[in-house]
Amino acid sequence: MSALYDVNNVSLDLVGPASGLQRLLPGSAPRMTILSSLSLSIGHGEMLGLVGESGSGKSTLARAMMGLVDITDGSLSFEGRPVKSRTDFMKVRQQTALMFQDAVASLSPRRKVAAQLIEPFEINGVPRPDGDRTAEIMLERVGLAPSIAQRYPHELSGGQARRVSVARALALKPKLVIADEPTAGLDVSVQAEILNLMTGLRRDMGLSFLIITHNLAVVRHVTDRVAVLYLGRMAEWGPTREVFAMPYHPYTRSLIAAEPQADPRKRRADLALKGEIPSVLARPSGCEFHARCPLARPRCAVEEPQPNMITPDRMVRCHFAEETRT
Amino acid sequence: MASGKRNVWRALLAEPLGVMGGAIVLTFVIMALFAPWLAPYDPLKIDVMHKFSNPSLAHWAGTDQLGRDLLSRIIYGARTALGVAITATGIAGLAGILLGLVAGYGPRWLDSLLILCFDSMTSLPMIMFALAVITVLGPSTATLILVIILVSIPGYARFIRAQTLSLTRSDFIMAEQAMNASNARIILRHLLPNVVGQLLVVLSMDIPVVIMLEAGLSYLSLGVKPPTPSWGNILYDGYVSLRQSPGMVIVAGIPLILATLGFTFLGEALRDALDPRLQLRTLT
Amino acid sequence: MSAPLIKVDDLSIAYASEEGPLQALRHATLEARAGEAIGIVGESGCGKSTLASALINLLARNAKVTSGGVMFDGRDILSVSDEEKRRLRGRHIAMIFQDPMTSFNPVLTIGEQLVDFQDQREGLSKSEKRQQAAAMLKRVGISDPVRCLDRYVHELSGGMRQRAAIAAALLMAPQVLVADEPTTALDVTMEAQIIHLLRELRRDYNGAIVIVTHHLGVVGELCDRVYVMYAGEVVEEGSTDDVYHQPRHPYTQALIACDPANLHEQTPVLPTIPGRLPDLVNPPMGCSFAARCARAHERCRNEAPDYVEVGPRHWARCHEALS
Repeated sequence: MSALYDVNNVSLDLVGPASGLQRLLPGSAPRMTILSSLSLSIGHGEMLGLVGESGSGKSTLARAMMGLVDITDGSLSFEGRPVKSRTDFMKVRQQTALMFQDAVASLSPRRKVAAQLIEPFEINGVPRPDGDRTAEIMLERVGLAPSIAQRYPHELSGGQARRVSVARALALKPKLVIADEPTAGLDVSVQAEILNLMTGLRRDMGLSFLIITHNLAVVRHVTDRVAVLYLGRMAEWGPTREVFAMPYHPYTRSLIAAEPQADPRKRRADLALKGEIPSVLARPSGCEFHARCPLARPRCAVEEPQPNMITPDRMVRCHFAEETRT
Repeated sequence: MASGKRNVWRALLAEPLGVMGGAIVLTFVIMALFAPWLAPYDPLKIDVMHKFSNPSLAHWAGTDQLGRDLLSRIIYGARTALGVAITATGIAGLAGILLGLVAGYGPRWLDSLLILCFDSMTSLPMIMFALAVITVLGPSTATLILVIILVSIPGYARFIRAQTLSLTRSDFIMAEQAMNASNARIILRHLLPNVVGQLLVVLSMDIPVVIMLEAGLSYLSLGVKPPTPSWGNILYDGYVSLRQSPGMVIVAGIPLILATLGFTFLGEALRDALDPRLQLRTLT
Repeated sequence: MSAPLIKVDDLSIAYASEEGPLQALRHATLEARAGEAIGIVGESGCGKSTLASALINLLARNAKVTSGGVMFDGRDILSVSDEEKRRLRGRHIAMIFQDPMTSFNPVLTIGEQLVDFQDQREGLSKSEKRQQAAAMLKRVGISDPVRCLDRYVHELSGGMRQRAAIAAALLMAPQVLVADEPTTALDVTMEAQIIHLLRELRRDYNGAIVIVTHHLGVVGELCDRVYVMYAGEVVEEGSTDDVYHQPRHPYTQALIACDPANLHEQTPVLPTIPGRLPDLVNPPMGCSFAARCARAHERCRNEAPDYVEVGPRHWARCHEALS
């Protein structure tokens, strides 16, 4: 079976900040590689987690998949058909919804919730399924009171705004929902409610989800597969359970070890990962992780590791994945 | 803040200066609208028998060099002043919004082109430009309005463009794009309501500037043509007859000062009322 | 055992709101001793930020203290003069904010500000103060402190900013250090590094550390004692180990159960806490958690529970704490 959304060898460069003379000479400003030869596929009805630190290019990938930023190289395809032109993306957007990290900011500040919920129907010329009660019914579906329809975005709590954005994302019965940090800034109990809502919708409607987050606990509990991104490159992907049980890439291992333990008896003694993610303007040579990698060897600084399929459904990009995993 | 006009009104009324400004502006608006009923005399009726009369029960503000009732002329002058100011800033504001939105949200080349136009406009000295246009078209109220519109548009457009640019990078505009919203929809439904409030503040602060400009140009005989009553004309008449009747200048100056204060207070109060950062939020 | 350095005694704070006074904090009691790190944990609306701002004496303008106070150095710091408040702040009680961007002035260099923060220190030349600042930056793990002094806050990365903010807070060797969500704005890896740093700093710091957070993991990693807050009240307090392993208040139990970090197997449905926070303008007369508590009975709805001692230095505000 073909995948729902295929990202094939995608690279994305942006022109960096130009200084002095560079501004006068077009093309001389530094180019920043945000995404580099990235491949990813989301299956029908699958929940895929995409994890990485800020600056890893997660949100850029989501925007590129919606056609909000242009890719430099590679190809995208939705349900087996290539997505290139503006009209291709218009079709993709009818079947793919994007949920933003800041749910309140993703709602138009001076329009009531009701107006924003029926907007997808208006834009795409689809009749509202339940007439005047459409907004209320959409709110009920995500567990909100109908009276929320008459509120403005800034009058909503974080959890309510998140539910409203889920409701809006589901308006046109999409096949794929891309959720950027769906639980950021939420309390633990509300976080669990949003995740339950999403898994429930997936079960009932057969939706696919791409969940972009740096919260590993979220990924561990709701996703089928997980992909780990580092500085615009895929470090590792595979079934969630397997990756958490036996991470191959040293970066994945460090991320898992970095999670704070809600148990004073399991306090870590040492630091899992030193230093910070490098700037895209100063991309390290060879393996981009080598400068922070606890297991780096001379080869890592000079030679780029190639994708290594350890099993048909597990990929890792590390020279020493198989020997260092113990 | 957006939870309605009601809250903006409440915030506006909570500010003493806002209430004062509002009251002054309202008074002038009533004067302008109901001038024929409020004015005790015809402002154009010449009565040379009673020229330069001091304030009296018959003529509360006295009369001018042709014996015309000054109070009536001031009241009708409000009509001219507000008419010119509101028409000019209104049209300039609308044009500024349109051009600013297009420059801020439209393609880059169009933005550069518009910015070039605005910059060349603003680089001309305003008074020189005004004099040139008036020399070509001849002094009249319509010319005056045209000049004011032309010199105000670049400022408003730049203001709207700056606001639009920062909004364009915000999540909710990107969310609209991700939902396939057309550019027209994004501009009219989502950008416009977010920029129009701030522009209203700027406009209300600019109205007194325009009133002063009208009075100034009329004073120089380059604006409203006599005998149409205008505060500038009255001021000019008062200046010419300063020796015979020193009070006329003062009588003509008072409404100018009051209108300036009124609109400025109102504008400042409006700015505070519209600014969500100034509204106290409870923190828990 | 040493006497508490700072003590919150029966503190209640209400905010003026359109509907009436919003009782954000109700009869909160808390203490922190020298060398101890305590955690204040709870969800939004529980009053933890209000408590933090009371500790640092930065209450909002519409806040009103309706009972109790914050005792430090033998007096109630909420009722001292403004001059005295300023002197206490920074010199004796310092704060680390969630967003380190806001703790620095964007138009001054880090160095200029770190020198300014020492203006209460007598008999030190400017270059000595600069050296002090550099030494403190080095101590918080900034590898090139002298260069960092000449930078502006926007030139630093998120992790570096938070390190610089910690350096600024520790510069005057305050007796109490309050950290409000110190890692919330950071990535997992940066969060781990800041936790590691705070834990290292604890070793030679003799003051008390107060960590305010919604993240159970941060408290678990850093704190000796924890205060769990709900709807403006401290509902449970005890050593972190006791509270995490033998929670006695139903809210604490639910909160721990909800944290996905505590689940080791994938489950189709994650546990949640049904219901919502009570209205704090008209708080319930009984237990504030009764409406959401599975074990609530008649008495819980009518009578507010008192602290019940459930173990050594472990209290829970629940009628059923001992059953």
